[in-house]
Amino acid sequence: MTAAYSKQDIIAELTVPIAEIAKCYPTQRSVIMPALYLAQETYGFLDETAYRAISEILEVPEIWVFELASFYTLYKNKNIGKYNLQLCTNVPCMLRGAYDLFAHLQTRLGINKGETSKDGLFTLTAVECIGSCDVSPAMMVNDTYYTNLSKERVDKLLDQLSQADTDPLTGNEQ
Amino acid sequence: MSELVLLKHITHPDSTSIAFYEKTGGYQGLKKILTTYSPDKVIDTVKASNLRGRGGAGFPTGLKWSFVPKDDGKTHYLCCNADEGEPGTFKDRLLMERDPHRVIEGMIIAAYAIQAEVAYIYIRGEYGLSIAMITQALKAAYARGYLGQNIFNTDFSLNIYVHKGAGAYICGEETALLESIEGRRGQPKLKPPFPAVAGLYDCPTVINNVETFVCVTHIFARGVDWFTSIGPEDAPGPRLFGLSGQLQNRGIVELPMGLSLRELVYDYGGGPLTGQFKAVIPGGLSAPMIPLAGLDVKMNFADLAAADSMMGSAAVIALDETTSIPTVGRRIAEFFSHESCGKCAPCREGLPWASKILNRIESGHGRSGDIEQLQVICGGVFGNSFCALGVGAAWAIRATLKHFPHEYDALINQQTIPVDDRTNL
Amino acid sequence: MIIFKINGQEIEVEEGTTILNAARANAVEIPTFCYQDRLSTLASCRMCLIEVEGRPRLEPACATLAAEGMAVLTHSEKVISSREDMLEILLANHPLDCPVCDKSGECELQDTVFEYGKGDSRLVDPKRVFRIDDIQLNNVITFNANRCIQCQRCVRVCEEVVGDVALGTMERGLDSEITGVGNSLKDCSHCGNCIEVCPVGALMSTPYRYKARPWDLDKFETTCGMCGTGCSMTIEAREGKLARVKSQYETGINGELLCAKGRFGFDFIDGGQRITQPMLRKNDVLTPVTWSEALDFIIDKSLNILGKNGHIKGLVSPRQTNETAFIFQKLMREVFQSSDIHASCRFSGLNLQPETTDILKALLSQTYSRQPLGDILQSDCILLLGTNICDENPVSSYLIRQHKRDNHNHLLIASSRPCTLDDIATEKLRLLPGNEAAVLSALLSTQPDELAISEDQQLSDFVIAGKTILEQSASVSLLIGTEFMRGQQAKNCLIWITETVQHLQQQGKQVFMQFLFDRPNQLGQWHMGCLPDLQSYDQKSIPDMFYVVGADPIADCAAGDQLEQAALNSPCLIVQTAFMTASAQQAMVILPTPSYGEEDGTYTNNEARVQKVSAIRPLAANILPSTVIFTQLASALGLDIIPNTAAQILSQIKQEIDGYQTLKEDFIFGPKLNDYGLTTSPPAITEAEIKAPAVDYLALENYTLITGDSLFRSGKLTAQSKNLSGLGHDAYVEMNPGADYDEQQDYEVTITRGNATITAPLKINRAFPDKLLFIPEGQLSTPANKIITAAEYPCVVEVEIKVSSITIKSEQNAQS
Repeated sequence: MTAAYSKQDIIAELTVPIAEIAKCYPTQRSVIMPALYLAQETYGFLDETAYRAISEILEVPEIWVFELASFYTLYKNKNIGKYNLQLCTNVPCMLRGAYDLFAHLQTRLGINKGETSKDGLFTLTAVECIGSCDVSPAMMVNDTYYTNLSKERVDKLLDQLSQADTDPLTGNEQ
Repeated sequence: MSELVLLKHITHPDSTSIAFYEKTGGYQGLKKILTTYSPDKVIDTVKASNLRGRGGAGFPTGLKWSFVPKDDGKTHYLCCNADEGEPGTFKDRLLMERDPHRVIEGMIIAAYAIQAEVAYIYIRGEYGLSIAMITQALKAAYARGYLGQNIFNTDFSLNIYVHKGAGAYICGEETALLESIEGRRGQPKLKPPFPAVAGLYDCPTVINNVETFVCVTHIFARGVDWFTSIGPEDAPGPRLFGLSGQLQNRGIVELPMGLSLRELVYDYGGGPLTGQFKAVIPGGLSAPMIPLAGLDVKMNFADLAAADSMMGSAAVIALDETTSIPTVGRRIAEFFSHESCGKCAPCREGLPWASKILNRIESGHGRSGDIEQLQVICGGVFGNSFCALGVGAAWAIRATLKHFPHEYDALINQQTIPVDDRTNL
Repeated sequence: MIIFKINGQEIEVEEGTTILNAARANAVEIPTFCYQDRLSTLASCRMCLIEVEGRPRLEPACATLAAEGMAVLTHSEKVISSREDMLEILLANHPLDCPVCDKSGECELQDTVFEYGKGDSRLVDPKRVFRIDDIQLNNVITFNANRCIQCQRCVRVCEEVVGDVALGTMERGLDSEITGVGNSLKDCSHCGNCIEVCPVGALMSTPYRYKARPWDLDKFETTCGMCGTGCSMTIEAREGKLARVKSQYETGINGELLCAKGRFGFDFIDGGQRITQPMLRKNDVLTPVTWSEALDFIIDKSLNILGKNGHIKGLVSPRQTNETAFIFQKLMREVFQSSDIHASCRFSGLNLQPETTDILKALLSQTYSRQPLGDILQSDCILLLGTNICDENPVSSYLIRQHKRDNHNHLLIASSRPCTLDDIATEKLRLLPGNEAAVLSALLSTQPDELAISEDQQLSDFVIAGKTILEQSASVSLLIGTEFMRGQQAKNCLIWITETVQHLQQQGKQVFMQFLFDRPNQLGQWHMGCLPDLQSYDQKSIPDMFYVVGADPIADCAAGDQLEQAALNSPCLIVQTAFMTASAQQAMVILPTPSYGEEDGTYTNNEARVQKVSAIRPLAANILPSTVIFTQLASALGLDIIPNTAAQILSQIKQEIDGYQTLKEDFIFGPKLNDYGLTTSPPAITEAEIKAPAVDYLALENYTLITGDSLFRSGKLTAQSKNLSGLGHDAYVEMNPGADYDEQQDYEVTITRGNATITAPLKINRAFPDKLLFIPEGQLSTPANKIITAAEYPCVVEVEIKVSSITIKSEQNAQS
């Protein structure tokens, strides 16, 4: 986003779909969260232009949009890699080796927590429990779950994703 | 327990299709209720079953429904709490991914009981597959007339919408969940007024857990007597226990409450991965851990409370002898710090402070006085925080101090760093 | 009533009282941070936790209602220990900035820690630091996030009371940070109330930064001189120099609330060009002279005119005190034998027909409600008519917003410009000034479509809905602006206001009516008798002498206004003023006077309440109080006017002016520091009934210009304020140019009427009705180039918009 999409562009594109969503709620304010998701799916991540556009479409104060975009962790406020590697390091996963796996990823990608690899492909973050405690260690890559991970399986996955002509994420193989 | 009920069709390849659900009796119970029961009768039935909420608090469901004022002229709302953020918990995800229609049917029954015309399912944003399955199931239910206007040609109409969460554990707290649906930051609200009187958009609202709605369908399908015949009198009915951590067998197991924790982690969990168990967390990360010596405690609300712990979400996380307790304590403090909404001072300021101290201890830079300071912080947070997040955090951290003080002392007294420095994680 | 115990002592309170309020009413102290009486209850700071016997956990006193038989302990061991822990936890991340923090000495955290804290902190780990440098949220608000204790008072006051919703909180947990969007505040009115309510030094006033310590400051309780709301404020000065303005929760109708003008605008008294000595025009050049020479000149001239039965006209500014006005009208009536006394430059409409003064007088004494605004706002229906309240009386608008939230009454707004109250209005209407009579007539009429108003959908909708609401309301409050007084319809509007009040009263409703004046003492001047006898004086004739006190008719009057013409053409114009003005430059004699803040006196506000205005510094050497000048002139002309000090004059006012009899003797130290009380309605006089005439509704068809105050401008005086000049454009034209013009580009607008023209930057406001233009009054052009005419208000003009060739440096443009 940023230069490529102006506030007017976003308003032109999203007004109708947001109006559809608004039918589910009695107030405009309730539509902010789904509207942020819609903008994020459409443009990749969110920034001030998007907040302003949503604020105008919904006729709510800009600050309300900004508050939600920063309170909730799934809204991305900056551009991240093509694949957002979100490895759970909470206790059930930690007890099955998540920290070692994280260290391995840091080494393999040459980046620290929160950073993006130089080729722009991978962003590495540690997240809290994603509800896959019985098949941990587990990781989300964008919206897809990968479970029962090991160093080998993770390496294989990253190899696959690194190939330029890889299909979109297909999900986990057990 | 002889047969699986909550998990009966979970592994069937067609379990998510509405045709399969109808074939196995789905939506029949709903039809009977809408056409022959009054809303009050529905509430009375659930009350008689003594069903306790399956989210974490265990509040009697029928009683909660009965708090909603009748004939007040206001819109009533029903919410399904599918935010499932308590670490160790994954049962709701299973139910939504594999048995979505049952969740929906339970919700329609509940909505009828409290005369709600709108319902929201608050699903955490990470659960993409659950959201897809529920959305698909809703569409199918609408197409068959189980939702929308005049269901089964009665006066009852209901719309159910999915509201996607966006990564905040605190939104599992019911008033924070309501705030989130209203488009605000997920911060808990003052009670009173209670949601049943003034909840979503200031209207009477009931919030229940996914598994609770599933139980409701079975109560009506198989009868109150069947339900109360399972498990202890004060907590009847089948329950889904989650098993994770350092056990041989991880997964969901459906059992009546009342069995011992020992039985759970040995007979069903297959015993520890390495050597002996060191401690077992019985009900999600907010529940104080039970040390090996206490494993005979029975898995029901009363006994766990007496053991200074809690049933919570029945998410059992087992630790074996290879795990350092201070590491776990530190990770608990970090989790709750990350998820703190920031509203009240004790949780917002106190938990990160505890986190810093625990990090120092874990990396070998602990000082004398640190444990006492942690006790003070935990005491302050436990007694004074605005909502249960702070209480749970302090309670869980204090349990690690209470049961394993020697591990902390060892780290503090050692001059060298015994474990890898994990502080940047 | 409920009886319960606090610390063993029995207390009786009304049902619905919180433990906190019950305690405070009985001198039991409970510390709080997030609690603020006006705002929603959060119970998030956990400082007010107290023990209720029988309950395992401590309860927040601010959110727990007292119950019959409850036993509360506010100083038990558990409670004391909890307070110590909470403070230690708050101090964990709060920086030890006291030596460099502006708030030190008046900081609630400091005070509470001193009272209840442990005395040490055992934190050895690094504190959470957001950043090293403070953020300039805008020109008047500086923010230090490290000090913030997340009480959310600022966010709540901005949303719930002021209505701007400029502040919010980003992130969560310990990373929570108060913010605007992108660290600047969109839609912020710069009222500074967030600074006032902040308990610590997180939000700070930029003009006051590093200037003083609270204990260095001399504090003067006074009343604001900007608009008719009459806010109580504390002007704080260090060694005679104005340091800052504060407002205390306990005082005034405004409590802790002020607006940008009140809070930041008083540095105007140090701006502008001060007149330091009397001046006399000799050989067409204004020459400094002594007081005796100046006064002698006036005395000679007066004797001359009186001898020939000539005409002396008087004009006093509505910013002058009651005392000045009272003695002035005595001088005019008893010495100059003239009752041609005016108290406003802008209300051209009041002087057009001879009966208007009588109608206005009757309305002020019989119809006007002399009641606290807080009481009036409890009515079932509040009608805001012809007022741009958010710009002209901001604090009144805050009180309306707060009361609407608490009482859920109906709010009807019919005004020329959009405002932030529109969001909570039950019905709203954009109305050209002058149409107030037509709208009132439509609202009262029993015929459904009297007046051909059905073409205007907005107007019809408003009238239909308004009628229903009025019918259903048992109590109605009319709060009316003064814009209509500028135009031809002034008399009809006054008649219809009176008619409306009587009509609704006859229906058995409780009815209140007050004006919302945009000057601090307009009502006071009129009470003192500064209203012209239009029956006796032909306003078109040029007076032999025109005595102007504090006003600037040559600049402020509309083109062709009778007062403007009098000032331009009178052979002897006397201007008594503190600052050099356009009128002073044309005067025959200039007499220097004190400015606001240099003499004691009183103002009468919109509520008809008399409040004290205080001197914050002594007069400069050569300046005389206005009243002294008047008494000296009077004395030389044969009449001794005895009262001299402000207190003496007030005593005389109490005797002579109807309705002022019950005022307090002197102000009382304590909560109502400068409040003399409400005036009372004079006894009823039976007057001839005036039939309310049928009126036409003027539709907005061509480009039409209106004027008035803006958020940062109150007349011309505020242009002298450095603080306010730094906010907003110097001059601008506000309008809705249509979708073809967007905010990314700078445009300029040229407005022309006849030979007068003005070009200024365009300020886009999409909520403005099509073809309506607004320029703040103080920024209209020079006297020679006036767009607004007395003959026609609002004025039809020609408009041209083009892309700007000038680069504008202003806060507002940078944000859009």
